[in-house]
Amino acid sequence: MGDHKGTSLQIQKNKIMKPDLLVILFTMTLPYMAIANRFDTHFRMLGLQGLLLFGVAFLKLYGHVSVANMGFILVETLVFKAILVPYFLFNIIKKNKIKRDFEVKKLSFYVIFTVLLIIVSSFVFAHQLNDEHLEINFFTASISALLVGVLLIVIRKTIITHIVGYLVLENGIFLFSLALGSEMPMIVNIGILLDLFTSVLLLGVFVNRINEVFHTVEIDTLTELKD
Amino acid sequence: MEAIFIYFGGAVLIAATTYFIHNKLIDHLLFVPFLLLQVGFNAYAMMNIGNPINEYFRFDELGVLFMTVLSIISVPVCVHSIISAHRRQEECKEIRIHNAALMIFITMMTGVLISAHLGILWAFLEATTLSVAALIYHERNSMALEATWKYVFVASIGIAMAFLGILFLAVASKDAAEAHLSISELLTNIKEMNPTWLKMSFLFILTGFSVKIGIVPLFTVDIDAKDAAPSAIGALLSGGLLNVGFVAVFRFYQVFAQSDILAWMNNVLLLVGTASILFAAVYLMKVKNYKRMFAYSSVEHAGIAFLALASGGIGYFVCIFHLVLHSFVKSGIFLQLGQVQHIFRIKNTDQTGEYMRLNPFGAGVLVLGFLSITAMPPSGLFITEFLAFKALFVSKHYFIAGFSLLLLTFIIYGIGKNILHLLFQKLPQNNKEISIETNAEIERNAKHISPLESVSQYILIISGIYLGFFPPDILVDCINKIVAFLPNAVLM
Repeated sequence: MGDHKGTSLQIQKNKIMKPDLLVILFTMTLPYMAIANRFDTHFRMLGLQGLLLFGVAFLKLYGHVSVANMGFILVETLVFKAILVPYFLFNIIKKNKIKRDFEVKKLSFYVIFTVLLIIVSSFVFAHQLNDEHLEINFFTASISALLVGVLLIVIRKTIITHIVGYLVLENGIFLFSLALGSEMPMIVNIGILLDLFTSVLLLGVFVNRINEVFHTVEIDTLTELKD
Repeated sequence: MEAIFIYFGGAVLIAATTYFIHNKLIDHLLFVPFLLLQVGFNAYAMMNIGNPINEYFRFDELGVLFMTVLSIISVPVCVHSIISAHRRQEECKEIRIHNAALMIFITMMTGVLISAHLGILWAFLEATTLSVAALIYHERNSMALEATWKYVFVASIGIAMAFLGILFLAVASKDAAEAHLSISELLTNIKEMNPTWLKMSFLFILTGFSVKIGIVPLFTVDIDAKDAAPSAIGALLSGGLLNVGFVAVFRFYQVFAQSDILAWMNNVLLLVGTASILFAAVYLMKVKNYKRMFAYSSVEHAGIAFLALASGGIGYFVCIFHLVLHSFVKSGIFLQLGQVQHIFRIKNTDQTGEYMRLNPFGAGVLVLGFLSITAMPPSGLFITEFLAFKALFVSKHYFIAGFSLLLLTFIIYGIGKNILHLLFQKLPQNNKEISIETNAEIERNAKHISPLESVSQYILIISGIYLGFFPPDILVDCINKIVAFLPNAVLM
């Protein structure tokens, strides 16, 4: 009797412990990010994505990797992705006195349609792959994030949104690496952190520089190099 | 293993010292221990080819061959950076950052070449982006800023895509056994992996690393980088980083070639190669900036190398040989362009001319370089291109071969037009933009240039010619060993 109760509890616990809900929430941030035009909305969403990734990393990897590695990943997601990156980006817009991305409104309808199309087709594609080791939710969320990141970069005109797009892309890839996390070595984490350093520190430095030199963060002014 | 620790530790230490010492002379002199370390490590690697080190690093023929090319090119690149810093009367701060970044750049490229674990390879390649950004931004004007921004941004996206490609490969390897990314482990299980994953993996990796090689699709930022960076860095980008990116792709190709997707992969490479040559030809027809011109020519040569690789048979050998020769020739030309830029101060060929009279010894380099890079008969590249097209015909890609040959004629015309203008055309006179003073200044600038500065370029380009006609046995053996275990490889 007792045994039976134990297993049912175990099953229930497993159900709760599954990170899929968080992954779905992560996917839901994507359409919102794609149509938002205020920078602070973007940054808050990035912070939220960081938090969700923290939860996913915890639920997915707890007990599978060493304590030190676990700590590293959690610090990376919570401190770096959820707090430091948005803070840093907020600083940039405060310094440069810019608030929003213009010429977004007219695009909104098509953009949200495109994002939904992206999510649905990633889902269908994941099913088509028909791989027993593949976690379909993870795959859908990460491919959607990758494509939405690229979409943000392509349709928006300010450098800040480009950085946001890049970070979304990066979060998507990180999510996918979590699906494999239990077997991937530490080096992958270092790679991700290095990537974040490139994106934020270097890009952050350059946004300020570009604003100083060109007096704008609009990408259309960067046209000096041509044939 | 100790040697690798000593190399990386030593190189980082020397670079850090360069960065923290505020003395121009010492900052320049520190190139000497760095280059000694580089050459010493290279010699060590040559002697230890094939000896297993650990899971992460390995000295194999492919890595060591391109490491040797890199080390040879690094020496004149460092010398010419010093000359250019002296001539531009750079501040100590600029020199410190430039020299330290240059050392780290060379070290990281070497790291890519010796890694035997695909995760490590990716991390080193990522690090090259960081270090090269400082070098592109060296001249600190708005153009350099724009080029750096674009390069860093697109390279970061590329490198993220390549990372996703590696993750796909990890999924594929998980299907076969346990997730693993060391090349030797992958080779043992490649046949059991799901081809769909492998195809996706290859596409993402090729796209991601195309920034480094400078081929379609992400080649544009590479052109901007070579334009805005100092000429010596352009030489290292064309003669070093191109090969490093190629080696990164080739490592994956080598593994995937043992699976069923080989034919599909070759089709992708044919497409990429042809598109690269096409883009190069289109841009070369209208380009006026001589630095961008040779940057596009690198796109073309990388495209030819990929066509050779994709056609198999003798093509494998030709591909590697072509890249080796191209490195020597192209880095020689880029180093020479530093002098051209110093004399004219302007990169548009329409406002230049009479280079043959102004700097006859240096003009010789451009003449030889022009003949070599367009693969005219005394050139070593003539032989490799000839064999590359032979490989294309043998593998029955008649249309692609014919189309590419046609495009090559356009490319020769494009480069020839600008080079001949630069060498022989009269300097523009009585023009509103070009005053008499400008021409007088050009004459003055030309007097600063000593013939000795062109010696290294002659050596590089002539060795490109010599190696094409009389390749030493050691080189041929080395390339044969690299390609030997690819399917249907034909050895020389």
